[in-house]
Amino acid sequence: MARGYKYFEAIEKHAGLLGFFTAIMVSLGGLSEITPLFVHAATVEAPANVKPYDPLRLAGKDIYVREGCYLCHTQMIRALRAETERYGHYSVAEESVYDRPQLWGSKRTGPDLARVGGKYSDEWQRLHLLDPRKVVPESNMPSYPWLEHESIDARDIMARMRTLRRMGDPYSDEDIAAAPAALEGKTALDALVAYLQGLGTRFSANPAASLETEDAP
Amino acid sequence: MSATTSAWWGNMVGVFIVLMLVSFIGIWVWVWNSRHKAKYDALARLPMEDEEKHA
Amino acid sequence: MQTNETYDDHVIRLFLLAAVVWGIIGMTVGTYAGSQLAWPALNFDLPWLTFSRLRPDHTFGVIFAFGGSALIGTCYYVVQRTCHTRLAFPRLANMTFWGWQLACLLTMITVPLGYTQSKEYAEAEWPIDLLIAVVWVSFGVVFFATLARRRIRHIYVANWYYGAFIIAVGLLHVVNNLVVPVSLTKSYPIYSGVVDAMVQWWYGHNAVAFFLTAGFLGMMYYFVPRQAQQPLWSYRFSIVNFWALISVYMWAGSHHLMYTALPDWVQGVGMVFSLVLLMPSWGSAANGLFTFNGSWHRVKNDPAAKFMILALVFYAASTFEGSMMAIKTVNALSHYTDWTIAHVHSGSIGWVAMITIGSLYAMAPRILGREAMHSHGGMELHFWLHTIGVLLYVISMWTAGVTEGLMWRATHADGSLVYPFIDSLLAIKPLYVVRALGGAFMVAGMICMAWNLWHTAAEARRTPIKPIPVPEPAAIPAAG
Repeated sequence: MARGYKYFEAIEKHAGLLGFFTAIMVSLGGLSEITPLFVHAATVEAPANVKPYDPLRLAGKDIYVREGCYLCHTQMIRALRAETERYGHYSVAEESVYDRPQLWGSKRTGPDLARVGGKYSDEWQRLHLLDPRKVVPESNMPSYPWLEHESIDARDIMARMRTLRRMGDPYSDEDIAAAPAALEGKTALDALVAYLQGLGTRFSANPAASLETEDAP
Repeated sequence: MSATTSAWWGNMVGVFIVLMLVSFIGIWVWVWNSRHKAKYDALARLPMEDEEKHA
Repeated sequence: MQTNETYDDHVIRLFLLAAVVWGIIGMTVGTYAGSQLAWPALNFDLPWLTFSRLRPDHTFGVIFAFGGSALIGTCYYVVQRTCHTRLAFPRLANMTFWGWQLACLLTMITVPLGYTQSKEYAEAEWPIDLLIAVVWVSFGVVFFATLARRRIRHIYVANWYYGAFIIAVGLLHVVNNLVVPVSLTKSYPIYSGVVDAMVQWWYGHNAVAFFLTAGFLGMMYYFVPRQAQQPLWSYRFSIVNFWALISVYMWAGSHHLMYTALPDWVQGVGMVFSLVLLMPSWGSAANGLFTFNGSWHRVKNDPAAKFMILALVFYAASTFEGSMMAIKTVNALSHYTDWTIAHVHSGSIGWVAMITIGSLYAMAPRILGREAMHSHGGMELHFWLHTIGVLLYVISMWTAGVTEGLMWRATHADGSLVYPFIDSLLAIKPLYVVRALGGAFMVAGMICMAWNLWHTAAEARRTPIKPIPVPEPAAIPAAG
């Protein structure tokens, strides 16, 4: 290959070797940090109190993704004093095991939503999504009026549940078969509100015990 | 993560970091070896010699 | 002395045109989206015109459509010039142009329509990701095949950076976009929760590292010495920095997830490597800036060089800022605020856009068969429009970010919070207006550039451009 060149010079004069060593050096970091998490995720089962999304909330979550809500709202309360004071108990890993993708977010143009479930009434959420400035006059959140008129395709949601089951989410045949009834007459707005109202409520009331095991090194 | 996996992996990560450090120092010594000065000085001029001068 | 080959500049002209068009589109979308944060009624209740759907459109448009076109185009230019050879596989190279433009166009249309994976900086759905992968491999083939037929034994350092950019971005793209499709327009990633977050930010951070840094450093290592008409300040230093940069960057992604549910040790490793990263970052910036030593007098009247110098200053500043923001206690304040937005933009419109614009101004006359750009004044105007735009943008968002960070953490003596969330929004709303104004300045600058290029290309449109012959390489000392 690089015959005739010695040592490091071979890399400088041989495109294949240069590419090879570049690939190795760039792989080390990701390998070191992602592999153990991946191994860990594969060996640990989801805690009993965290269930996969029901059909309506699954539809709602995918609308949250589609509209890009995660670009202005985080779902990740950091373990910092002021943050737990404002938003509630800090987020733990087990809460997002069924989130594909996770929606932790990176920017808070609006407040964190990790524990927003139940904080406001369904009606407030509906009004707020349709026209935020009706309930919060100073808000700069966009209005999402089209959600009200959009129905949800049950067959599409069933296909999504089947795909998620293939990846390991514990949906039973009955769960999937029940989707059309659960989605009957629902709009995108209903789904999104149901999703929001479920956020943080799956977190067990007394998390101390599960947290101990989660945080153990 | 179980304690054994984590310890084993921790050692691996340590080995990676030591290897990176060693190769970094090695490259530093190599390029500053005065034998290579002329070659590198010529290469530093390469961007200026890419076209014939329009005289 | 010259060889009987000529440089293949046709595809580079196409990429130049695409870069400028996408630059205007991407920055306009950004300015419009940013304006909605000040005036939310600007979405006119239309789904595809709404901030939350336009933001990924803007980031894709400027990073991949504008930045990507500029990178691939200059890469083809630089690899020919520094290897003293003609581009390999010209038809494949042409295909990478049309393939890349198709992928950009499809993404720019589908993302506002709501087809998104919601992975930041990788929003396009899986069919487009496949197309991108194919184009990327072809790009790699053209690049490495051109390297293989070089007339200079030693591979010039700019090509190392371009090579690392191609290899690493390919790797990142594939790993981050592993999904199981539900339909043509919807898929779920194979990762969930914490693993997905780590993969997402390993990708997100290293897209910055290898797309927005390594690629543009490749540009810098060729065009800066070329424009300064001085040899690179220290070629040795560039080699050390190369290996340090590519190996350290990949470890630092977890600094995007401080104080989250990511395991502590990964956060710690991310922070330490982010601090180490300052060394190769400043090393490259210094290498570029010192290359201008001895030609500062000429720079005064050369807008392309001024763009490059300011780009390097912003590169040094934003990498310093980035390393500081990776310190956990600073991150506690800065994260989730507009400080992040300020940091990203001082890197992207300070460093990336300015090194690109400078390099394009340096490259355009040569591939268009002219001695110089059509209008010197136009370039000067662009320089000032862009600089003012960057400063307005970065200073306003930096102020907004610190304000938010401080207000969110302010507590009374009894531990209760001082401000409800909405107060922090009210405090920074005027700054969102200033930001939009900064964006408008930069868009105006890009339009000025397009006008200037159009006139520079006027002659090229009328008569065929005379190809530039490949010169015989000067001998490089063989020792060691």
